[in-house]
Amino acid sequence: MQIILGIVLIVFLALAGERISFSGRKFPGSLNIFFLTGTEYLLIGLVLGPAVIDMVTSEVVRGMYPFIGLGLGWLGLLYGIHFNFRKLLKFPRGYLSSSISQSMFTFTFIFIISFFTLPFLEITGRDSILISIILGSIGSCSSQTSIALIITESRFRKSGSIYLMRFIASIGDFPGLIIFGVLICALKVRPPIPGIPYVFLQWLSASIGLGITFGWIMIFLLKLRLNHVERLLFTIGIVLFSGGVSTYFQLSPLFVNLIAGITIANFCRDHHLLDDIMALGEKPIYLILLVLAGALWVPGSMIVFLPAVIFFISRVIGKYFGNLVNAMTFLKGAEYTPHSGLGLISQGGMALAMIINLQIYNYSFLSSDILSTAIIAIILSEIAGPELTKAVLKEEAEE
Amino acid sequence: MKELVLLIIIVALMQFILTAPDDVAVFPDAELTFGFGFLLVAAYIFGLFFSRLNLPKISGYMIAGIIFGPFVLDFFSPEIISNMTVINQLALTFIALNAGGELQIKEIAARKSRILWLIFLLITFIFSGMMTFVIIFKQFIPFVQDLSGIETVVVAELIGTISIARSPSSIIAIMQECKAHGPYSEVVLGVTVAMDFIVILIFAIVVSLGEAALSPLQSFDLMFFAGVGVQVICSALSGIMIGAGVSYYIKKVKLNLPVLLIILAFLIYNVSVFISQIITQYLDISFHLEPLLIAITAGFYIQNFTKEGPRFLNSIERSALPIYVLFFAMAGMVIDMNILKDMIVIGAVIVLVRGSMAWLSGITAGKLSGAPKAHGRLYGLGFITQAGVSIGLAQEVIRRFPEWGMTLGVLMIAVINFNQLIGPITFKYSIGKLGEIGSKKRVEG
Repeated sequence: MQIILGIVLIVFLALAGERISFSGRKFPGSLNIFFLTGTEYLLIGLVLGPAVIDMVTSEVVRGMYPFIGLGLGWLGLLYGIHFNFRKLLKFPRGYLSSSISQSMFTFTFIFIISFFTLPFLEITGRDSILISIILGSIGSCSSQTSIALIITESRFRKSGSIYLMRFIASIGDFPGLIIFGVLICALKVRPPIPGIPYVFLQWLSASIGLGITFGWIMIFLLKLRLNHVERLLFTIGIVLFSGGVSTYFQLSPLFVNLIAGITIANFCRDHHLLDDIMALGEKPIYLILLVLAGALWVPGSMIVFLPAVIFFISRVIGKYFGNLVNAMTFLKGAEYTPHSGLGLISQGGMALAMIINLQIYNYSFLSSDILSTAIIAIILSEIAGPELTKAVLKEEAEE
Repeated sequence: MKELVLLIIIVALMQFILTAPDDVAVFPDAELTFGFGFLLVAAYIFGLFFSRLNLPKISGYMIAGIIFGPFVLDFFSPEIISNMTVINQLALTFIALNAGGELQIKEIAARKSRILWLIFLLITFIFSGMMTFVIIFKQFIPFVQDLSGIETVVVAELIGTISIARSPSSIIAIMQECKAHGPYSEVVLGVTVAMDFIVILIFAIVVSLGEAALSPLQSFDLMFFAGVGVQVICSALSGIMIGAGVSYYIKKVKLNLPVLLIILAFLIYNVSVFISQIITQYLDISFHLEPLLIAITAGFYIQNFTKEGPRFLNSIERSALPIYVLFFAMAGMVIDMNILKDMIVIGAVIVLVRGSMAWLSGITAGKLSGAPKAHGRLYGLGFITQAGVSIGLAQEVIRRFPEWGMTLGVLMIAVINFNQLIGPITFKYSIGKLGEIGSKKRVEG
């Protein structure tokens, strides 16, 4: 009974939450920051979870595995179907490369800082490299949804630079997701195993192969004469199938479905038929994942606040300098202020999805303290992000 | 053709995944996730094939369940099938909500005499017809041959009672699939839903009488019937309260209604079971809140006593398809082909007798109530389907009559399986023949 009630509670919170979060409603003072991005659901999940009142027990989370597969797959596919390379290349030169480069710059910066900081937490060697890669991937993500909402909400003039910032935010998760997906394949190699590169390549090919196969299955389905309800049924079915299979083999459902989405976006003219369907589930799925991430979160010791702050600051520096470099190289001459990187601090959806993916696989090298560090840093980003974005918008408007 | 290629691809993919060595598949919990995904897609493709052949899609879902289930391709382990049946709890209550919402007082009142005649004659003809058949042909039914006279009568009564039960879920699913509306389908639905309650009451009487007749120590228990009455009233009142709550939500909140109704169905089932357990445990009385009755009453209340009926039905229809696909595919998956094989001859004869009685009831009720001739001729075809409640009753027989209950239960499950495969086809044929397919007006919610 507790499992049922727990599941129902999570889903109900998410449904009710959609009415409050992302609604553009005004809340008093700093509450606005929380309700704008849905971060409060992470904290609600934490309170409901084993760490506080234990209403959402580990059995409840286990009962939600079909949903986790669906949710992660959905987010991956949703992200992937926007990667129509022909369309992306139509944007002015430098847009795509600047998006990728700022993300890679942030990744590298966080990787280096983490790699040299982790030994202080007695994490060295292989584990230190793996954790640094994970933190780098998570840190390189920016929340396109909350940045877009802040831009829409603000009363400042919308310059071309703002739209460029949105573009960068929407493409910026791509390198992090790819690195994350590849890393999950690498984690299938359990040392000491002879022929490590072979095993790794085998799983990487399996991930890509599954993604392409599911992508083509969706393309086939889109060619059938179906109504909206039937298309929704097939989409749910395929995402459950692909998300479940990826989880079954301990691959990343995010990565596999990203590949599927990219396949659909580039090989199917009718990919727009999926847009409405995918958007339909985005917000409730995101909110459910937030509650689940909160419930799976084991806060551990207070000491994690320090690394979380270091992670957050390195992210801010990474984003800032990544964009500064962009402004001086790829976007030279474009209407783009060098401080725009500060507008990309909100982290949100994809970063949390990566954390949930790691939480359910329960890797031995990944202690709850590390995951706590990443979650606290996300919360810090969600608190600071909107204000920083508004500051950038104000500066843009004044110029 | 495209559908066939798609089906071959996903079946091959599933086969490939399931043949992966155990050490490669490191996260077996996810089997449920991709199992649901695979079944949803594959069963619906079967449904599309069946619809091309002018057969009901739900028959396609069931055949898909049989093919991918343990008796043919064996894609799902018993543990996974058992976990997947969680969908049944949700689906049965959800379908009951839908059934309640489809029942409109105005339409039922307009066809009151047809509905009442059909209910009366279906009970009388099928019950007495099946009883007579069992008693007369006793020597041809393997396990009845050796029973005493009184035992034979009890067996005959039980077969008669289970034969009365039908399947509202199949009727609702086909009406939705075909967007059927009209006097014939409304009457069939009304009768089918009403019979679901009546059969439970008749079963309670027959079992009580049977137990009293077979065991001299056991007396006929009047308190049992009083208890049933209280449970029915409590269930109906709960349904009214839930209905009022849902209509308030529709009026004030409006958001995410289809998903909310799915959650509600899930909740009605589990909370009513939970409350029943608590009352039984702490008050030491046998109490059972009936989730299907709660859900039907809730749907009926919203449709007939609030203004939110059309929006409610529209939301149900929008979220129903995946639930129907999984529910009927699961129904196919649990059909025991061994039982079906063993009982094929006697089962087929019982199906034939039951079908003939239904047809006779339809013709007679049609004449007595002044229904159009064509309707009277086809009523019988609308009353073949059997599922949920019938299986529940058969299982109850196995539990209550240990000496021969198992064989009788197995025989009746085989009969129900036959009827569940044939029934949807005959019902779709009849509504097609009367031109009621596609005549439902679309309600914008």
